[in-house]
Amino acid sequence: MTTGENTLEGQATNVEVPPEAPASGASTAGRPSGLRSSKGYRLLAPFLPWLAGALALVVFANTASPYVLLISGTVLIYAISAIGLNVVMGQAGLVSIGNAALMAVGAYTTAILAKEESWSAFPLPIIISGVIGGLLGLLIALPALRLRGIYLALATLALQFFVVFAGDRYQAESGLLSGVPVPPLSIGDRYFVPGRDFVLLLGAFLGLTILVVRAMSRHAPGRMWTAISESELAATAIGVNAARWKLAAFVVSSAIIAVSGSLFAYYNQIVSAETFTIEFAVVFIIILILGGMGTMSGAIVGSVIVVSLPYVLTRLTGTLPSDGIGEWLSNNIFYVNNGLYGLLVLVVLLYMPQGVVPSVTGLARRLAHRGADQPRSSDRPARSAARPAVAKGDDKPAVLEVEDLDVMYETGARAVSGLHLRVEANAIVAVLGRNGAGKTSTLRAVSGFLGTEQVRLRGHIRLEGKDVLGSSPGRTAAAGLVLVPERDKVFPSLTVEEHLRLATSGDYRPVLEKPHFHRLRERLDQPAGLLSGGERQLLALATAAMLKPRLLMVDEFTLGLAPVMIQEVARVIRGLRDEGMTVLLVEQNAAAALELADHVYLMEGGEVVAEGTPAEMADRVTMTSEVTS
Amino acid sequence: MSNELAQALSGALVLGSLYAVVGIGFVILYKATGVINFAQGALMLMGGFIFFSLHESAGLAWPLAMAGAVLIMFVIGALIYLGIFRRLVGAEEFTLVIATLGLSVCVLTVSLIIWGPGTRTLPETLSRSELFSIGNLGFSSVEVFSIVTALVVVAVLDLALRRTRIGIQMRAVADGPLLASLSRVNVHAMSAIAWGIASFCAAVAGVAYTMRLSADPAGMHALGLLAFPAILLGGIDSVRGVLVGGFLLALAQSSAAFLLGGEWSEVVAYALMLAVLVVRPRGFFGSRQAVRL
Repeated sequence: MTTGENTLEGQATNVEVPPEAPASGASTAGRPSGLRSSKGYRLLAPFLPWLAGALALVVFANTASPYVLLISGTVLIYAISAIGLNVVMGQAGLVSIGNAALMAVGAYTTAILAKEESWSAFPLPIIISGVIGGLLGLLIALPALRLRGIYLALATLALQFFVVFAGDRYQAESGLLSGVPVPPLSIGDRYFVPGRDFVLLLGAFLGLTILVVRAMSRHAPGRMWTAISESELAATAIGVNAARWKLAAFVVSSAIIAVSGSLFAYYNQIVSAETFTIEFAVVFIIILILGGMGTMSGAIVGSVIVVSLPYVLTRLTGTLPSDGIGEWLSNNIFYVNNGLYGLLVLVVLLYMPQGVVPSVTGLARRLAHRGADQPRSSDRPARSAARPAVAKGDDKPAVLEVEDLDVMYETGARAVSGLHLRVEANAIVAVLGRNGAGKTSTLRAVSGFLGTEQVRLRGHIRLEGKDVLGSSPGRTAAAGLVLVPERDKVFPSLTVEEHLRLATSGDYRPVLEKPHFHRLRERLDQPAGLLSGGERQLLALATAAMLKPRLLMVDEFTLGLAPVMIQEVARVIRGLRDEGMTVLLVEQNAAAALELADHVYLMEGGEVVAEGTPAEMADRVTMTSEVTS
Repeated sequence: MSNELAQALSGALVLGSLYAVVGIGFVILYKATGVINFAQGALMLMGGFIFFSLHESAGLAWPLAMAGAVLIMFVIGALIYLGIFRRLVGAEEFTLVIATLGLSVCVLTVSLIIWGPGTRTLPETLSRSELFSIGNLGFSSVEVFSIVTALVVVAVLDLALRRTRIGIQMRAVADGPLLASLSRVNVHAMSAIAWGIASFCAAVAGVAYTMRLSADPAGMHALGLLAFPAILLGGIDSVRGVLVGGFLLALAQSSAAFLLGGEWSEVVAYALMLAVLVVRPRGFFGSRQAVRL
């Protein structure tokens, strides 16, 4: 038990220090100013973490027990491999399941070269392993480059089978079924077997890997990778040759991983195809997930956790009573150890999407700032506040009533403030305004899309007297609100008929009898993706009408339509109103809206600046500006 | 036609039907939820083992055991969505893939803890001796059963997706989840059903595999992964393409095994997959969007 604890602590101090380097090098803000001003310190600063890391490693290697040292060697090799994988997954944002295969390539290359007198001199096998790994990475990534990220995952899956197959064949041909033996690593006449010296050597390799990857991520390649993983399209638009940089990332990563495989072969002194399974590949993805994608310290901490966890767990199981759960655990410890990773990944993805390390540091930061934090209750949207079940007006409630609505984005930008809006039953109400006037924010707040985003909502939105502020879109839809969005208003691969069937469980034909939807009758079998803009608008209105909404909201129905078509769609909307529907339009096209609406609100800068009948508003609109444009 | 060749061919038909049925579950799940499921093999294995337990340990007649196993797996699939993937809606593809890898490890572990790693052989449920032959292409009852079951499942699912209201709703979710929720489609319910179907399909393949050969964890897991080349061949988002891809892949594998030896069968499958990636990444029937960049 005590040894188990030592294991964890020891490894943590051993490996955590070097990766701190980028962080402490980059931000000196936290340091006492007296130290910062000293010139000697400034010169030394970049090297301090490295010195500290090296020192900690030396102390650790000299004090830890052989058992702990044995495990730490594996941790260090895994960490190098994970850092290599991180270049592809964390920095370039691609999924690779090829880690085991690339390690196997390095391991087999080393096993074969180490036997040859003329090739076995250090560091030749390691370098050649890296080169071959990089070349193979180039080969495998080439086809997947111009495709979506997932295709790289599949290409690496194929690589996995090729390499294992080749390894199997090689072992079968050479009669080494249980594995290819690897002579111990020697530098000059010094031999390295798992233990203190090997750990120090691996520490040096880890440091080298960190240096290389850091140098790259600080210069052009790293910035390109970040750009690509943020938005490939945007990166391409500003002239980043995404394919080339992805290829570069994959090659560098493959070379590092193959080197780790080479070290792995020297460390275990045997190479067998059985080791390099898909599960083994997944372990490295898990390391990155646990540690936090994109950081080298994450890769290292993840390796510590993943490598030592089984040992810790096995030890813990030994201390449990040997009946009941203890017995069950010790019988199944092998599977539990393997399965735990899967469980951990799901837990981390669900609850700590940034990974363990960033989550823990984030938590620590939050705890530290707790005292200074202002009460958070004021941030909360009013959804938890008093929620009057019925509107105060005792005359018939309006279909939609918006009072004092504030919409504020996290950045502090106020999109809507103090908005009042009232839509009476069986009327067409239009909200007019230019781009950026806050129309869309209002619409999104009412339909519930803002409730799920990083937006603060305040005020009241009542749908037939019920407050729906902060509800999800699904909720507001269930409450009787239907939105015809500005874009993507139909399902492209569903036919017109399927759209209509989607909208009702009963017979859809009556809706086609209405004169304004006649046009759709000839299009029943066509996928909606092939319809014209006007036909799409008609189809969207038809299906919306079939849902029998309490309130139909139409966002910019004129957008992209020819004047003739605008007239036709306007007739349809008027027809729906005449059948008893209540409609809220959000429009930029003042002419169309003024012609159609019973009541008009004019928005500017997030506020309603005027309201009235279309006749009253007509002058105002032309006076204020060219909203029409 | 030589006997061995005939055997390879009939084997290819059975294998192809398994790929097709796993594959259609995959494609339905992918289209409805955007999840590329790497847990297909583990789910297949679990389905096969549940069938084994119901039939062998609980003593149910095999048709009942089969119905039980696939239904239980449907429920498990739906629960996987409700418990895990519902919370990952809107996550990046990257995250979803990793989540299915984690899921695969979990399902595999649970199955191995419950049933152990060994291969179990069932006593003969359906005869493994020849039922009929076309020329010297012979089929046993269990092979016919496997092929027919797979074809029926694929046909019924394809029809249901196109004709039933739930099918249309699922396709609506596939086209635009946001718009679907605006149109009062219960997106979560549809996604849960899609997961249920994926898991159900994997179980059907697992049961067929177990009946014909044995409940073999490694074999079933590998077969579940081999559905990937089949799916890619047909087109990652094409329900009917999967049928073609499945049989084509099985045929290629059987030919390779026949010409080069059994150990080549898996490698050839993945080589074929790489070739598809290079030449025509959307497969025979896939849409362009599925590979967009």
